[in-house]
Amino acid sequence: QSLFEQCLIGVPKFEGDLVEGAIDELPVNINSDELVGHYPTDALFVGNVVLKQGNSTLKTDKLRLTQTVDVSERTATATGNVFYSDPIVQLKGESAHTNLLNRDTDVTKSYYDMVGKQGRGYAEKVEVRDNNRFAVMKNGTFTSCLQGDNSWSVSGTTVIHDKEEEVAKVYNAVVRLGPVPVFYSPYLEFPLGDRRRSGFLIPSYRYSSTNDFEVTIPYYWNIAPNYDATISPHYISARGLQLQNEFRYLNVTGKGLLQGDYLPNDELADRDRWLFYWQHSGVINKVWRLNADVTRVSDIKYFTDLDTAYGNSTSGYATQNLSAGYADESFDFSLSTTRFQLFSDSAPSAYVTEPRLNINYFKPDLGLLDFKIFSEFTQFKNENPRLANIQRTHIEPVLNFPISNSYASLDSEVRLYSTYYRREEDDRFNNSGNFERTYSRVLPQYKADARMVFERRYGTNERFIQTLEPRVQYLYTPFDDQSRIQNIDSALLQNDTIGLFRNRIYSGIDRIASSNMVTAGFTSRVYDDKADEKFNISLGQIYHFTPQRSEKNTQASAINRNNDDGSLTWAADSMFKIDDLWGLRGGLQYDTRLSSLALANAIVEYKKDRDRVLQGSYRYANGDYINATLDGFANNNPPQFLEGISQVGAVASWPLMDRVALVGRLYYDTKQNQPAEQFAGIQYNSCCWGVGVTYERKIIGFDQSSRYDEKVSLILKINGLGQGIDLGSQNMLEQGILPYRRGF
Amino acid sequence: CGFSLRGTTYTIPSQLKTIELFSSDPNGPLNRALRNELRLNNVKVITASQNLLADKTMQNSLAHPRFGVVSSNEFRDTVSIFANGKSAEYQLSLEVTAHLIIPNSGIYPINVKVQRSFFDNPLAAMQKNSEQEIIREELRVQAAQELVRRLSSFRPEMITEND
Amino acid sequence: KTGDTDEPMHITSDDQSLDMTNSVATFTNNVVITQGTIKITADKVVVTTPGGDQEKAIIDAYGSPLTFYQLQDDGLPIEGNANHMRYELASEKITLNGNAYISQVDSHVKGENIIYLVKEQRLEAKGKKVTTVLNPKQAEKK
Repeated sequence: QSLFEQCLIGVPKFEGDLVEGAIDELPVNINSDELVGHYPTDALFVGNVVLKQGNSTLKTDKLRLTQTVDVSERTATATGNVFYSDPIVQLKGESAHTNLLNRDTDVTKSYYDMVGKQGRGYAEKVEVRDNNRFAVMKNGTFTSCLQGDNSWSVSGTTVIHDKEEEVAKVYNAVVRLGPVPVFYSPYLEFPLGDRRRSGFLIPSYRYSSTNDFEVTIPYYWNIAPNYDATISPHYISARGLQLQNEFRYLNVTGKGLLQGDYLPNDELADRDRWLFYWQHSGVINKVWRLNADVTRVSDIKYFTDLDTAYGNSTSGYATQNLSAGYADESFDFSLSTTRFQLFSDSAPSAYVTEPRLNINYFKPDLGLLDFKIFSEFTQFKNENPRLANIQRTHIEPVLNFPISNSYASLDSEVRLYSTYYRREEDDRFNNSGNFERTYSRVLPQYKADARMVFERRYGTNERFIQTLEPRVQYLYTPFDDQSRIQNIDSALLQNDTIGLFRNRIYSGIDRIASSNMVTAGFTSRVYDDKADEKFNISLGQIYHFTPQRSEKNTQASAINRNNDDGSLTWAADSMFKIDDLWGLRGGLQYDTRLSSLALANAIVEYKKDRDRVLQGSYRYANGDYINATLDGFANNNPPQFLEGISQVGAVASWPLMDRVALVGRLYYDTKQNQPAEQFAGIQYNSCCWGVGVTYERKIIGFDQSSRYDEKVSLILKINGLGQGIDLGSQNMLEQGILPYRRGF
Repeated sequence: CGFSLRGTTYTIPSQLKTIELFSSDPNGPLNRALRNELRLNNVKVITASQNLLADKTMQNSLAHPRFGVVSSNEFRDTVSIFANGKSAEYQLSLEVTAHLIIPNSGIYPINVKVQRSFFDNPLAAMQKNSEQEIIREELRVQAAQELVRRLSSFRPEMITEND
Repeated sequence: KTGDTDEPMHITSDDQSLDMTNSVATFTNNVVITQGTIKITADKVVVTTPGGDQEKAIIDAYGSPLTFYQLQDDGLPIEGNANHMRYELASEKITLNGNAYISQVDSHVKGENIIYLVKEQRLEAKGKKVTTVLNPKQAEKK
């Protein structure tokens, strides 16, 4: 039995079946020992009085009922041992006053318990309003702890329970641990269901070898239904006081989040540290699109020194991207700008696209053909005056001629890459040599992509469907020596079983490699009778008739250098859901030019529920292959740490007695023979609170050898507010630089 | 070995040959990929006016099945690091939940999860950013293909089962 | 209605017997008492008129159950029944006991023992368990 079910045993339940019907159509039934009545306006019930109306029940020693002749008003006043209950709340107080026509009820000096949910407290006066939607309490307290457990409570001059919004709002809130007040806030809000964001943000404590002791105290401010803010002073003993401000908004332009953190004169780094983050996504009447994804920090070591949700020590750079555009079914354009902040001290100054204009048009079913055209105007700028500004205009029309009959389909495609470059050099510096001032490149491309689908049914009463999907593609692109074009946005792409069938081996536009090759492969999938894919395996390879090159000179990377042809790249991927618990997944890429595996990864996972997870993983990347992907960008002698990846991972999460969440994670680098990340966490949960400790040791830098940082975090949390009790395993699994992501 | 040729695309059950496609972002990249994938598999697509029908009676009065993406989430996680602590490989994953509403049969949720990894290089941010955009677009196409495949693996008897 | 008690009272029944000396009249079988809008039906009624003074008559009615009916000033009926009823004309006090029940259009009261003062329209109920039901607001009467 889960902890949540055990806790619910201590919570009052609503007995009897619910009565439907509007309040003023329900009869009022009153039992008492005695009745003295002035008909029809006044009646006094004395002794064991029980008033029932619909789902509400009121018990008291004495009840006085007054009613106007035309029954336009009917109120009951109870005094002595008042007990009121309905499907939402139960109240025990001294006196109560109920309007029987709209069910507004006031109870004085009352203890209250939520029905079917954790949540109770005391109030000088409880006003139940708006057909039981609101319970407004004067000088009230609230806790989700069960009777007899006063681990924590919140008191406020006014506490408003809103059943519809599933939220409790507390004004002049004082939080107490047991009898001891520990925290004050002018306004506090916390969820009573799972709908609202928890406004009751609990202080968090951390100790790390670099920052010593840290404490964050968040203040949640619910400005309006579609605006809220969280202001959190964050004290770091080794650095100083940082202020973290988060603002969330929802309006006609879309949904967004702004985060501004500021740490004046950081003692360790003796400078001011700040972070700015803005994320926005909005679609206005289905066609206008506004997007922003901006992260900027004061210095390159910011994410290594300070904790934030918007970047961590593994981030190599921060992106600032703004875009606005229009899109309908067959046409779209967008105007955007992208800028980067690189976090390595030896970084060349980064190019910026300012602006970039994309215009695309799609016309499927143009007779037998499908037509589309991509076009892009980009201006690359650079602060370093030595580096030229480049204007690039690119137009790429594509014509597809899909033909298919009952057993095969062939999609032949003709594409034209036409690109025009114009460089603006700064005359103070001589022309940077091998790049032309203006250059144009026109490259046609032909692709023929043939597919077939076979299927068979097998298993007991044909439970399973297995498909076999062979695919063959021929790709031809003539060679054009692009060494005269500066490569700003093209990176070598990886060839997994899907990447094999791409029509290019470089991203971006600056490099379009020649190709005269056939890609052949197949995929086989198995579905069960619930249309769930249980297994798939894919295999593919590329056979080059002529070497694939984009530049004539040979200083290119190992991949291009040896100019081979023949069957060079192989790839395989597979996934197997053995049953509802166990699953396997893996993939590998083999490159004959390296005569070794280029990349390989494998995962085995056991998952019973969100608290019981076991995962083993292995990732391999060949050192030469990595250099190829960093082709020419990393300075010529690749830093010592780029020897390749061989990382074994083990993740485990298992609860004890349904109360204690245990999480462990280890990633070990077998090439460097050292751990990459070690993480351990334990969280004890009771019905209304949880406390936990996590420890993380991770690599944060390299000089002659990897530098490590260790961090211990204390977790304090409130349980019993939402629908269930989360032991916290998922949260701990997702912390750290190598977070757990479900494999299936 | 028992394989029979089923033609060029997945056979979509006859009841799903015409579909009303609904979406909260009809011209967004994911819905475009889904619309294109449905077209490639010869499914006639009608654009649904309102977004999603809530109550049962309305659902049974539908002329055609309604299909559309209800929620989609993208994740970018570091899956391996270099010896200097910087990310070596990022894994992009896309989780999509779609609903298939079949008149007087019911609402069938379909969950799809696709993931790809790629190498990062802090010194080549612009190149890696364009690579990431390619992979994000490929993930949308993969998810759309997976959604359509799941449609094709809906068996006629599954649909009329709880008629 | 008020003024009912000033109306003449008629009592009909299958059998009657009169005991002149201590002025006690006993009516049995299908006894019906009417006075203005008041109407009482019972199995047996005993009317005692202390000292022969009609004004101070005391009526004891027994039934299984006996029924009581009266129109109120607002034109709405008030009905009741019980095993035994004592109606004292002088004080205009009706006492019902033995699963006594009184009902009006929008409410009714059950109890062991109910006292109803006709002139002041005041009602008192006692006993192990008094049950009162207030019906929802009727459709607009006016």
